Amino acid sequence: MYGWAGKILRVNLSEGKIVKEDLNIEDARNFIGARGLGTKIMYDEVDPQVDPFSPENKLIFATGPLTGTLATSGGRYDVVTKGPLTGTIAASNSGGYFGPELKFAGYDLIIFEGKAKEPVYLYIYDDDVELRCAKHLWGKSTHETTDILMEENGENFKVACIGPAGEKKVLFANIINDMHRAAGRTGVGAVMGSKNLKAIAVRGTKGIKVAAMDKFKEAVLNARKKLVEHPVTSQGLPTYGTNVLVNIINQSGILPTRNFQDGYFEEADKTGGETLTETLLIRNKGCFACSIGCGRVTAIKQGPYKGEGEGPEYETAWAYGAQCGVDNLEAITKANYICNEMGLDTISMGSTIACAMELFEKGYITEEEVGMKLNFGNADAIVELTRKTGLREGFGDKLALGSYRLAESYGVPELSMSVKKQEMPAYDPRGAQGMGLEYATSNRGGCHVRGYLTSPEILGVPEKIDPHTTEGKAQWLKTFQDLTAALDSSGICLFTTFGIGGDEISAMLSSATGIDYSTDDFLKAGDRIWNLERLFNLKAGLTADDDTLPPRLLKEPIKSGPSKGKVVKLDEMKGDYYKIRGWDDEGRPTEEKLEELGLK
Amino acid sequence: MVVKFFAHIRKLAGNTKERTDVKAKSLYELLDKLSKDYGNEFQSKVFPNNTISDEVIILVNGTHISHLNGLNTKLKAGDVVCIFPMIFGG
Repeated sequence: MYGWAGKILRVNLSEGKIVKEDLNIEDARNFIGARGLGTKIMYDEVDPQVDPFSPENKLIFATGPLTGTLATSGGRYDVVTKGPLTGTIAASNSGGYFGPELKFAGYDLIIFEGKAKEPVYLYIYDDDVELRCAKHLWGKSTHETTDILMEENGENFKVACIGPAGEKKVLFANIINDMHRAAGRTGVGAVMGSKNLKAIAVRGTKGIKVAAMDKFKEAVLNARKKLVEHPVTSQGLPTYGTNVLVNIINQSGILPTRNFQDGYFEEADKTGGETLTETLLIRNKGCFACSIGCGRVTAIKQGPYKGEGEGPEYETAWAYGAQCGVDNLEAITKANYICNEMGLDTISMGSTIACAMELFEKGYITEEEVGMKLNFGNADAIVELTRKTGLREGFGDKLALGSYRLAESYGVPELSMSVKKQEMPAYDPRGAQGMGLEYATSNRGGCHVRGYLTSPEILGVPEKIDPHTTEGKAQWLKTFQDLTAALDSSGICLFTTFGIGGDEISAMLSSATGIDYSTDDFLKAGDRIWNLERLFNLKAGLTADDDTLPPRLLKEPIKSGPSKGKVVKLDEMKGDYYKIRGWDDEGRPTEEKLEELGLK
Repeated sequence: MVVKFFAHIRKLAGNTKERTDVKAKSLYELLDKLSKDYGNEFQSKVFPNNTISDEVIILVNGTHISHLNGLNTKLKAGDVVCIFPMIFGG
């Protein structure tokens, strides 16, 4: 087998049993790997109505056929499960070095089933695989856990683990690998915690075979050349990181501010990539086989927020910055470090605190309840409440449920800026209509990396389209969603798409696997994956009514800035989207569509 | 009028974040003046051969100039012009 390692590890935590199975090549061909293949296994083996925290839910770590190869930025893997925050399929994508190491050990996927009686971790050294006691790791941060496991097993081991947040089932807990890279959104870390699984430590020494080395090298070098020559991937991202977006999104009037009450943050520049580069940045950092290096190694050298780590990325700088009305970059960065150590999703954490701030300012939450004044702009609060949430201490126990359940508990769920109970990221769709459709239809709830229409609507890649119109947005979104689903499944980074597209990726995939994927085949695989995710969600009980946005975005115009007066015109796009997807009026894939995709 | 520079463009403009002393009736006139102020390196990256570079994004009052009138976009007192390099993130 080429590209794929050809083996799956099935680990039953209840019985302590580990089985090695052959990869189903037909499924691999149709669903590629990672997100796609993980979803296929979830759909085949798990009742979509399962309680995410029950032993019957499964937790799948899945690489793609390009993960760990020379393919440009081929360091990605996905964690697939049913997410506790959303009740939808969850696929959380992460970079670093963990995914490639799993492939080097000879495995494409690990399927965790059941629940361990006591805390355990999975040890993998090539063919040697065993469950080991993790009692000594329980309660430790992700950094401490990684350090201990590398000390015990060897410095070449790569570790993915949960922190206290995952152990305590914070609904938006992450899995952190390689200390600073996160499989985020939807609470995959909480599912890991519910299974008493603290970590995976893996060391692999086997290579990955590719089918046609000369063609593969040619395809990789072609892709790499385009990335090296492209101004975004050669200059913008390495120098300023993703946080370079703060200013352009703000100047476009769509930087959500103070819980989406506005779209323009007057102090945004203090929190942006330019300021980060001038003040806290030590150096940039890349993941496996990456020529971009967007990672930020940073330090706060003195003062109340003293610390060192990685980040903040754009979404984090926004969630704790404009969204909370905070312009203190050191506090934002410190809160980011705590998220990494506790294993928390920064978008959901920051936005949940922002929701609490609005609840406080409107009189629903009292100072006595929180233990502090919780006005927008309180820099100390974002740091302290993040720590408390990770440990579920005091008011942090309420924040641990996410903004929807928090606001609902005060009788005002409409103050949660979430879709399918997951907090939306850093683009106010009232000034970018396509992003509104993207959030409403995302298979894992409010999310920007399912079909990133900010690219054409704001940044002009691959071409500039008008952000304020609705016409044609459904087709744009379908194409982006399909491409992203296939790309995530192949094992390379989404950021490569700034410089390369379906042609370059399918050339790498074909020469690596020996299976001829045309660009159309690649996009069709993405369509297939998207529809299977949709089928899972429908069987889980979601309906077309869930494909919507908070009332604020549909009814309350942005108050100031360049997008002043705008709301999302979702009704103008949603019907078109269902039609273009081949779905009926209730958002269900038609029989013809399922037949076309081989999903019947 | 306020002209704001971001990311690499700040360096090309002599580490300037913002200018309020420039007057121009059109975007063309503004970029021509800025090119004269900051020299060849600025011009080659932002306004090569008196055209807008593919590697910059220019907003006038928050609207991308491709939805306005491109280089012929008229400017007036009080307008905010933002010049970014081509950037990405997410």
